[in-house]
Amino acid sequence: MSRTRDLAYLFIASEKAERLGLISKIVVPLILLVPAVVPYLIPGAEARPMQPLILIAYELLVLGYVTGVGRVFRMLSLVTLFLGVALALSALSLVLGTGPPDPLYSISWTLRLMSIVLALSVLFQVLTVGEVRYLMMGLGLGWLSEVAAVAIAQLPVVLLSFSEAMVAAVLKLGGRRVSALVKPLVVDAVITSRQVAEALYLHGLPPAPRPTLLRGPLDTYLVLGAVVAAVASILVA
Amino acid sequence: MGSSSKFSLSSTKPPSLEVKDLWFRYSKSSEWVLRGLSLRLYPGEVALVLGASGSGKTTLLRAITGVGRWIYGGDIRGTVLLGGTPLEDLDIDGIRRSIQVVNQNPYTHFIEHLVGRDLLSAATQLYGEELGYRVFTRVTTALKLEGLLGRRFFELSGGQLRRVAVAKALLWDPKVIVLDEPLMWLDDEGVADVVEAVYVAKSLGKAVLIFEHRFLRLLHLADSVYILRKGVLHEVEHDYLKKLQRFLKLGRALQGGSAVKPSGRLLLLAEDLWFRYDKREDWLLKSLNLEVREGDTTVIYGANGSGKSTLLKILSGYLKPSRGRLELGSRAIYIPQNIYLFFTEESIEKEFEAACRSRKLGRQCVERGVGYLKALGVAVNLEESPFNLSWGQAVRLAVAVATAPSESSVVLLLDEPFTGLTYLERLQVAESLAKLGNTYVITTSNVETLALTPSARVFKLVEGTLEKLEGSLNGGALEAAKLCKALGIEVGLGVEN
Repeated sequence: MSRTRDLAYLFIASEKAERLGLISKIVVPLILLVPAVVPYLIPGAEARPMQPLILIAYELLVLGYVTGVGRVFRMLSLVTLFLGVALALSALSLVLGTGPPDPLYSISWTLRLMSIVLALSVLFQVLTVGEVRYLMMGLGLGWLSEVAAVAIAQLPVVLLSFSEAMVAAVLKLGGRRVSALVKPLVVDAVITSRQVAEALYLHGLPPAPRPTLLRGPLDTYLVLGAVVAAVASILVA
Repeated sequence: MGSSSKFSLSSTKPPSLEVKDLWFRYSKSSEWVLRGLSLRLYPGEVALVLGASGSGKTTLLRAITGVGRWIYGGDIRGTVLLGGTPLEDLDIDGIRRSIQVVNQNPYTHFIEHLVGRDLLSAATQLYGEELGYRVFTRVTTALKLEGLLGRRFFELSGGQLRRVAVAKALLWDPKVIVLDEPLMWLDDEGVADVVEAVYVAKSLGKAVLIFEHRFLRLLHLADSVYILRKGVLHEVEHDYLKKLQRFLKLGRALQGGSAVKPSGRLLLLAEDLWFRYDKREDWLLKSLNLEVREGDTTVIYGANGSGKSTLLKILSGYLKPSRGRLELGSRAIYIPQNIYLFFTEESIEKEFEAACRSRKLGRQCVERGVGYLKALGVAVNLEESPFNLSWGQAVRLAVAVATAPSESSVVLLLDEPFTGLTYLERLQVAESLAKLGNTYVITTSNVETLALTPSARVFKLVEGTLEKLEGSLNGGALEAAKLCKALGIEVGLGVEN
């Protein structure tokens, strides 16, 4: 349950996001994503753990500022899930008979995956629903932007329903049969979506306000910090 | 049937809402849900509409807002006038400025997660930046929301959430505000929040139409009371309801909580339980002790957010306590507050089959379950989907499904089973629970429901610990006052009348 709640908070803009302008909210995660993603695209790229570690350190710094240290640690426990998946995929090579993975190689690519997840969570932690809509509308995705806004708004409530259905099903049927949750959650989603449609009919969807592009020196510091972290990570590669 | 013209203060103004001979049916249905319904509501007037589940309360709401036609494609006949203008002559903006709804699930009203951000963006949409901010400030001040603006909507209690939803409705400055089951899932404090919000709307001259099962707590606000039956509204004499209110509150509602000594086999033992979701948070449960014996009914009363649901999940063995000892001498099954999340199959029969199969039991188990369902007074086709049942029927089906596979005792952990039910349905559910003679741990956030389980041991969950409510709670104003004091309830029980 706690995990579900933490997962919900991973996608919700923090209050401190108000202190940042839209440009830095987008540019900072993008700058951090480039050195983390590019090596994936280069065949035979050499793996060095130091490179993603620099990015991760800066990402944690930003997240710590935006959401508070406590929440960063809780989110990190979720990120360990991704680490587990990445390590499991590396270990699969043993089963597939492609030889044992180099431990340094595994650690390096796992950390790289972690830095990508953290960069994306920086993005979600700073962008409000209104800003997501504004950006999507700017990209010509008018209708989709409305769907995205409603989906992001309802995400925490959906996760809460998921948690309740999981407890009930586990105790009723024994074992974690995720497939058993499909029907109650689909029905719940249909009921909720009808209610959302009724609420939208009566309230409408406020037009996405034009966001402030830059708010102050903090924007500059964060962007500069991201540039320094990205350059440093490239230099050590 | 009646109109509200008896109120001289309001009758000098044109009605905010006038409904004449309204008929409505859903698309692909030949049956009319509303059949020649009429209603008149003046500025500053509150009307309360009562009715059993499925009587058409929500359909009436959909018909008078246009939702029934434009979202559900329903067929509508008759006249709906909003501030004197026919509904069909209003564009969507005109409808929104005439009538606003706080629906059953107030979570659906929000787009931004932060309450303040959501309300401000709605106000800005309506009035522009400068005036929008002034309106936002005025409305949030009137409803005393200052302390909630920096919080996320899904972190609020039910009462706070509905107060914010009323504020969002007021931003439009509508003539009519409709509240659809505003007390659902609310604890006693939450009810007071809603009552206050209705007062504010009324004092601002809004006509307020309320659809609610738990009408007793709202009666003193209502200028007129209707029952929706067979698609027609019938006005109820107010004095009669007043008498009913006194009778229910002072007589039956306070008979719960007798000091029953548990004597059966020990099924559940919780000793010095401590729990918190995260090490950086405060303890949600502190040094909590509970003993549940076979055949016991244990009621845990507490406010929203006091940790009742969490406690049930710990008692079920699903969540591990941070400290302390939990011993379960039998299987425990959790039945959630949102009852439909309990069901996993497409038909009632398959529900029984799945539950029996999970215990490696066959047809006999299914038939036993079907027998329980009949004994509980739920006469439905077994091929029917559990998701189509009424709330009260769904609760009873869940109890039958949970009980069917149990050769020996099972502890049923019911999270707020009486919420969303009429007074009569509550009684039916309570009687059904007693009839099966299972072991129950039931949570509730409403003092009214304590009367439904007269032989239960009653505990109050406060600040993470359980306090046993002892002594005679049977009838009488003095006992009522004592109970109110013990439960920390200042208003709304009617003993002051």
